[in-house]
Amino acid sequence: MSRRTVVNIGPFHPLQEEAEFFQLYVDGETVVDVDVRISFNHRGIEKLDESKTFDQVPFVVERVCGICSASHPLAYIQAVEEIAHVEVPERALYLRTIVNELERIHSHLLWVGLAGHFLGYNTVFMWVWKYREPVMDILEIATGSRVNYANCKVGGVRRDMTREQLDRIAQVSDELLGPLDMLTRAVLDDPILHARLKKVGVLTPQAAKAYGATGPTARGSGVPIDVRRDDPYAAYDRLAWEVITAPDGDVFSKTVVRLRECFEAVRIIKQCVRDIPGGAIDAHVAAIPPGEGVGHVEAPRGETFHYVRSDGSNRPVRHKVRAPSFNNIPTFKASCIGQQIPDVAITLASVDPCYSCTERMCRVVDAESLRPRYTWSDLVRLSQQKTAELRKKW
Amino acid sequence: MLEILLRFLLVLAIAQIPLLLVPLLVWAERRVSAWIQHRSGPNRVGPFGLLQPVADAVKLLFKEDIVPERAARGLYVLAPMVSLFAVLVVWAVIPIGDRIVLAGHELPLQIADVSIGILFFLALAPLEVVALSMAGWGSGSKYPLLGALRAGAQMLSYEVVLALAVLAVVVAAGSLRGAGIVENQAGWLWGFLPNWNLLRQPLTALLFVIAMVAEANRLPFDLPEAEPELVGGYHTEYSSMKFALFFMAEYASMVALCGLFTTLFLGGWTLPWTAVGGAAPALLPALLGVAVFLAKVLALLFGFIWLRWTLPRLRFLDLLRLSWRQLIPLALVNLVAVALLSMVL
Repeated sequence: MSRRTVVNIGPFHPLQEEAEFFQLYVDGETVVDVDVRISFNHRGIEKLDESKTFDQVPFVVERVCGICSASHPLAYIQAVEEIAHVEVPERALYLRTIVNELERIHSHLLWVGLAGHFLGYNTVFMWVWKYREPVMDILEIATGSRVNYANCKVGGVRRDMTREQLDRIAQVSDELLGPLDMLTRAVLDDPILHARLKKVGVLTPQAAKAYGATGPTARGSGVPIDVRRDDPYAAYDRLAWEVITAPDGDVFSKTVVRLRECFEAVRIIKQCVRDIPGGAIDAHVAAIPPGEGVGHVEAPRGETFHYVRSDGSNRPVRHKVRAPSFNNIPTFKASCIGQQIPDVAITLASVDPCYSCTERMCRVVDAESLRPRYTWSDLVRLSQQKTAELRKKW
Repeated sequence: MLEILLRFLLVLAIAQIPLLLVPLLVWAERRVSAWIQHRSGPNRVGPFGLLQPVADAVKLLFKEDIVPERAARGLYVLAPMVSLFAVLVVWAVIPIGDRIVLAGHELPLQIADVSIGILFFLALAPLEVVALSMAGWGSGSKYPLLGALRAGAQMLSYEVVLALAVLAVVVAAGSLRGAGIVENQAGWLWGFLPNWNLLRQPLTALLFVIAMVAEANRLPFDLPEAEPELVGGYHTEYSSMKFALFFMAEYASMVALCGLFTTLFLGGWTLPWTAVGGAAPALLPALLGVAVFLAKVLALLFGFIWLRWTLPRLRFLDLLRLSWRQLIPLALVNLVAVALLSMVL
């Protein structure tokens, strides 16, 4: 048995902007095991939502994630609309699609830039983020904000887009095709990138299914799942587009999937701008009856799932969020072991993890009595005990 | 007595060149990278942001000087000094010009014109590895240790390539003196091209360039300090001026390597098609020669920066594989070929 060294990535590490903690057990530079620890950033959003009215919750949930700030509210709103059986006007569905696809483009570009940074390819980082800027700008023009769009509301959308705005969106997306094409060709051609990304962090289709991976992480392993096609929402079933997959499951495949999804997103946006019908944008929902509903949306990182329960009052009594990173982060167990430390950095980045979205509290419950094993006071006591022990050692 | 004094002053002046080039290089790195990346770069402190390195130095001077609790104090403190020493001392054997006549005394434009100049360079440059290992071990922390391990493996691997490439030049020139190698490159190749080793031995030059980038720990070979993997590499635990010394050493080593490349492959201080670098040791041609040498070094340094912002980082194992499986055999074959050819021609 050789000696294992623990290499800590986190809780604060230049690899990620957020607090996260990976303990790599390494033998030399080879990773033999990995421990993923999250929960440095718990914000209690689900609980907070229970004190907001149905119309206020979208403003909270769009802050679940700084990038998926269109997907989370949409998933929540779809859950509420399921409870109230709302018929959303056609125009609103198209507007939702446009904003969500713009979000996908800027999220994927953000990832490509960060991936470049992790590979020491800082020029790509800067260039890609420059190409991403017009997308953010057009979102600001159309919705009023670069990040938190506050675009959706229960029953429709909050504000309409003018013909000029729609045309400008189509134009900006069109202008993005050139740089996207250049980037895609650069990634596909670069021998150093091939050496760094191919056969690195391989997630087999079996492992992807076993760990329940979603989004580009699963599609990069050749598992063709996509909520937009499998359970269509917004206007996706009225448009022509393809689910992008790549067969190899390595970081290269995930990169290719993301870049090609940007092309599909541009295609979807242009169709939306062309086909968008006129009419109302809001169904004017008056009250939410008692009941429960689920909504799921294909966020840039995978399936975002929201569950809402209503008791007939003006607030949700339970709101449950499951961000895609929650499913994707455990795949590190399958993809990181056996890698070299330098490959782990890019493998961790390859699922485009989003830690704040994933944070949650866990409660250990005794299987027989169903009573919690640890209560709040138990945890406080344990923590104080640990501090006392540490002080004694000191 | 006067000659010794003049010599001393000259040596002092030449020794300033790498020290002056380092801040310029730091500034150039940031401006050129900004230019390549559609950014502005530092442009507030002084004209064109030229005083930014000064501001940085002042900032670092005022930072707290921390020695980690678990550090091996002696090694930890000594490492940055050894590092900077190693890259500055090799500058002594690089001729920056021909000869200069001052007050009737003819002096070489070089700190020490020793007969084994190139060997001196090859012997002292690897001291950098020792410094980095000292830093890695002395810091008493894992990231610097991993960084130093990588630095050691990488620099030793590429040291071999570097030495074999230099040997090929030495064999062809028949001299170990920097000035001798420069003089050997005088004249013309096929009657119209400068007789530079770059053109006479392009493969040697290529091998040297690759080894040079690896020696300087620059992208695409900057694994010892790969930020996303190792935080900062061997200097993770260093702060204040100790960190600044490592930083300076990195850039000073680039300057020294570019100086060596100019000497070995670009005809040193000579400029073809002009009288610069001719026989007459008058003041003006001698100074022009120095200017030509510096211009060549600066052009090479620009290439260094350009390379860094154009390529992604290689993987560590690929890097070692490249050296041991491809470059070293190639360099050996190249050396034998050059030796045979210089016997025939």
